[in-house]
Amino acid sequence: MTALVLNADYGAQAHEEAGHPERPARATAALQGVADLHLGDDLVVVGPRAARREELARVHAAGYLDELGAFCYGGGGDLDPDTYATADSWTIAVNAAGAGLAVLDTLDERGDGVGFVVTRPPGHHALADRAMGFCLLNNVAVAAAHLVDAGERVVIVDWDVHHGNGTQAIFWDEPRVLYVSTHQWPLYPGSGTPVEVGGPHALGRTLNLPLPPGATGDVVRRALEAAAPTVEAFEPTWVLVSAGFDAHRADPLADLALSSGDFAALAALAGGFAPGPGRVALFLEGGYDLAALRASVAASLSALLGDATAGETPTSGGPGAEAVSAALEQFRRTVEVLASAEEEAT
Amino acid sequence: MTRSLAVGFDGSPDAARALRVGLALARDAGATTWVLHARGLLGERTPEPPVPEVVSETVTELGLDPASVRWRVEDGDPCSVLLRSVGPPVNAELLVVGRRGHGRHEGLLLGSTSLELVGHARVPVVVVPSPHDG
Ligand SMILES: [Zn+2]
Repeated sequence: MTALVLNADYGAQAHEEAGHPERPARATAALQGVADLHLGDDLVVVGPRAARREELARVHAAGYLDELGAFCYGGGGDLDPDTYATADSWTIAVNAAGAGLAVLDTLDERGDGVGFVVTRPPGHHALADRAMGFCLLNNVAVAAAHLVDAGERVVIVDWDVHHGNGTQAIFWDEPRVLYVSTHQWPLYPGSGTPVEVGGPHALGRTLNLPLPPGATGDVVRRALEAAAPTVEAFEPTWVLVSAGFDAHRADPLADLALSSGDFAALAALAGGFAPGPGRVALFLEGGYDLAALRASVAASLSALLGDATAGETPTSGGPGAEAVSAALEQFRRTVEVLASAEEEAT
Repeated sequence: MTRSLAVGFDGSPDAARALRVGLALARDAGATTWVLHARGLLGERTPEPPVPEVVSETVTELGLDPASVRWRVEDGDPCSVLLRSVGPPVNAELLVVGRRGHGRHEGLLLGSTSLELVGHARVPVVVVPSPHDG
């Protein structure tokens, strides 16, 4: 049986603001999802491990790291209308970023297994120099940069219901990272249209597949299937998933209509992008309904460990069937136009 | 193309002051004012929030043509929404913000929309000070 590699530091102890949906109980719910799998000896727990300064500095500005650390040690407060930090937040965020590195290193050593990184606060909205959308440090980006530094090619599949603007911006012009995102649009943070395709050195390395409110699992699955040729052409050596579970129909923060079984299908598709065993890891992003989070975590991991029929019945019949092909067409055309403009300019 | 400027509006007292300055500048320049409200991750998704009273009141008080003032709610954080407004459909040539919004921390770069904007914007930024600023 395939092992699940999990981080030891769950973010269930601190970083909390009264009434805020990004709360410690989320980490507990995700962990219950893991416990529901009854993995026994096939559960490998690693860490805790704090990310080192130079590991964070691969994706974050030095000045931002200094300020964020000082801000937290000074007691914290609100960083934007959505995002808070407390006196403990620096420590917990650095451990969340480090947790991903511990899990990846273990997968690499073992040469098999599936990684699950329970990170709080989440990361995919965090920019190089700015906290945003509940996120302080971009955990998946720190992990991807760690792999790129070691010569790997990384596809980041982001199925959180919100666009991962921070991850997209950090790797905008990085040809060794392919960023693929499915998300509700329009919705916070407002970015993530198909014409956002990457910078001049990385044209086509950003693929956005926005979906209308109410879209069901069949449409999101179709989106990942539609992305498959782009992913295969990229030839990734690692698959990192920004696994938010806020596209679940019970989630209070958005309007997609997935079930936990849909996440199992998405996980199986993302896992299929990996070139071999031990090369896929899920990073927890959003997901604010605790029961949905627990069930969706269990179903996704189950699928990666071999049972793709896990979870609630997959959903279908919602709007957006044509949105996927339209977005893909717009992506292709934009890459073409920009590539020929580049050619003319040189 | 009509000239246009964007004012960041979060309903705070500083935003109301910035609104007044923005509208006065637009009136003198014959420009369109876009009053932009950032709908955050925690914001109500539906229905579309109506134009706040203070906006319509200030427009009347300054004697502006209401058609020259547009109210727009956009998904994102205040800084990103204003940075995006230099592109279509707003095409802002000037950004106007208050010194501090809701829940900001005085004197810190972190969490200050105005300072972040000044650091990143491709067009001029007017930062309207608070009465308490020295
Ligand atoms: Zn999310």
